Amino acid sequence: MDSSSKRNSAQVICDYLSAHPNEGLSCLALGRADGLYAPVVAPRLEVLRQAVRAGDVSAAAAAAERMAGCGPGLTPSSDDLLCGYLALLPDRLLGQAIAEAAAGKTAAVSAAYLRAAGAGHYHEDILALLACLRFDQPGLEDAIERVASFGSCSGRDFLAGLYFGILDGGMRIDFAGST
Amino acid sequence: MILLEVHKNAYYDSVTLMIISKEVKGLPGVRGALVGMGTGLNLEIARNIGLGGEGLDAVTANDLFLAADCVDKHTFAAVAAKVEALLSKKAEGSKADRFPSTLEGALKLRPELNLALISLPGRYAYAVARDCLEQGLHVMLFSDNVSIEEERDLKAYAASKELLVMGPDCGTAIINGTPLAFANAVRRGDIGMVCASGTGAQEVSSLIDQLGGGISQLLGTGGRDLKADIGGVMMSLGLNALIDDLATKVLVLVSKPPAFEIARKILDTAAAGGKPTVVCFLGGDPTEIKERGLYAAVSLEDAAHKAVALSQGREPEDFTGLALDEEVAKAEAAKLAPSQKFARGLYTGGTLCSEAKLLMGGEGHTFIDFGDDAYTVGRPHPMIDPSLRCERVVSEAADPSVAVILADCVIGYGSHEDPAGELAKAIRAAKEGRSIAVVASVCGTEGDPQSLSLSQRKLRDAGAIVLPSNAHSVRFARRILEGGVARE
Repeated sequence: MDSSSKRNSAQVICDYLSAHPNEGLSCLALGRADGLYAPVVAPRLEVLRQAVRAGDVSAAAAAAERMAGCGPGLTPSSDDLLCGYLALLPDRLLGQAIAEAAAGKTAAVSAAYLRAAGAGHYHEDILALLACLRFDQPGLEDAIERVASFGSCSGRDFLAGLYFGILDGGMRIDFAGST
Repeated sequence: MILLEVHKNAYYDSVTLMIISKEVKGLPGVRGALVGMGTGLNLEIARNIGLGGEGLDAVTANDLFLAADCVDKHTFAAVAAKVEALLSKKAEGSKADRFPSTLEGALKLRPELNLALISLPGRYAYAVARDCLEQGLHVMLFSDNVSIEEERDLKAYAASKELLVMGPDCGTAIINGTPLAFANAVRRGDIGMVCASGTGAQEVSSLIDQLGGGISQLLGTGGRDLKADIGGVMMSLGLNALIDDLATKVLVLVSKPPAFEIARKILDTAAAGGKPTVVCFLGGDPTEIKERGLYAAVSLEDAAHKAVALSQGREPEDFTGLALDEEVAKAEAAKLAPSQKFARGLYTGGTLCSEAKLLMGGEGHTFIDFGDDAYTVGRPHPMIDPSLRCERVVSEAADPSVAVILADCVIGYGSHEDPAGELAKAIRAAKEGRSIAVVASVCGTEGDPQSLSLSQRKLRDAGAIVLPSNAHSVRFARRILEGGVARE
């Protein structure tokens, strides 16, 4: 995927979240930190993103640990956001380290999702969305909508994470067959 | 005053949690509230906005907590009542339209269920089938790639509990009038069938329907049931079940010829049952069958004719009639070049292919079952995706030695939405610019989604000679190859 379609995909996700905000962390993708949780998560997410861009595994794990388990719902919003962020991360070891660190700080159900994400395992609707992004396939809007419908906040928190994942170098390499 | 409510190790979905959060915050007298999982960060936020209290320290990440700042005791009580009401309401509402994701869940919801249809990949199928049998369910095992040892274990265990294991690799059954997997819309009646063959079962049951008869039950056993390793366990069990079934008056057994000992056991059981029984052991010796007073069928079509005759109180005769007159065969033969001598049977149904090969006999003819493993690696069965067979119809027609192409067209549930339309396209291409006979039959009924008559018309319109059954097609193809004159 070239940089222009990468920007486009990120923009499509952003537009969706702008039109369908949630009570969790979707506002972060729009550059805002509203409500109770986003102001707590925003600076911690920034630390994580810097560590990921620098390829610093231990710093990234520490940052993930600090932001896990934050937000409403059975799977706290920050965990869903992390799952989304990991989905396109090209460095699997880094992804696993982040997932494992976060999993230790949250509820069992959420931890299971995080560990699965670290291993590259996702719901089929998410895999369909990732295929749209990686291979520039049609149906991106529909795929986003299906993922957004997960849970109450979870789907849109996931999309917010995915948005940051795209910005931070996700889709740089061809993942064909890796999920 | 701070109300803290904790549900230890509670699992409520996010939608419920959101509703609780919203409703509680909206209650008069609530100054602030937080609902969430008790993770470190969430508890820290609760403390930070003034909802902390001593109880909070004992909350863990897997607990659901609700912290609310209430103006007085009444509000406090109202909040607690509201939460209780919302949590129990969700529990009731979710039962009605739940789609259970486990076997235990399904059986809790519908305890009367007694049959499981399993179509998992083979390596998972055994464990699930065993689980179902342990729960007292009959099993239809659509999955293939189940080992013979696993099959033997499942069937021995099932037989000890008098449960059916239809399969593995069982594609066809009709239970209480409901077609399962690849099956046809066959009217109900008094003919009960036990079949170790998928398209064999479809052909016989469809022809029974066309001849005015009907099916009480059609049980599948999987193709290996009558092999020595398994010993015909399920054919015996199925046979006994239909002998006991008051709605079944006539029995039909369909299989490849079993090993001698197994055949004897099955035939003895059938003879002892006292119900008129038609046995179609394709290509097998009829002596053992006739000795026991049972009726041996010479083809799948013949099995259907005999079963319907018995069901209607008539004495069955071997059916080898020809629906088209000899002039049509002669006319077809006259169009062929001297080099055109052989038949090509291009089939989607395995049993139909074996039957055609058997009935054709002779040398130089070729029959291909496109459902064979060699043709289905990485692609669906040809009854679902007929494209490979269709391509072959066109390419075989270009062979100057080929006189007749024989083809099946299996309609019904599970099959391609329009196999006749696809085959018709191939037939048109095959006949383009050259004389070649295409003889076909449609396996199915008028009630099938694709419709028998419509499918037949599509093939006829494309130039095929369409006959009422597979055996019939082969007889007619032989006439053409013999120059249009019977030489039997």
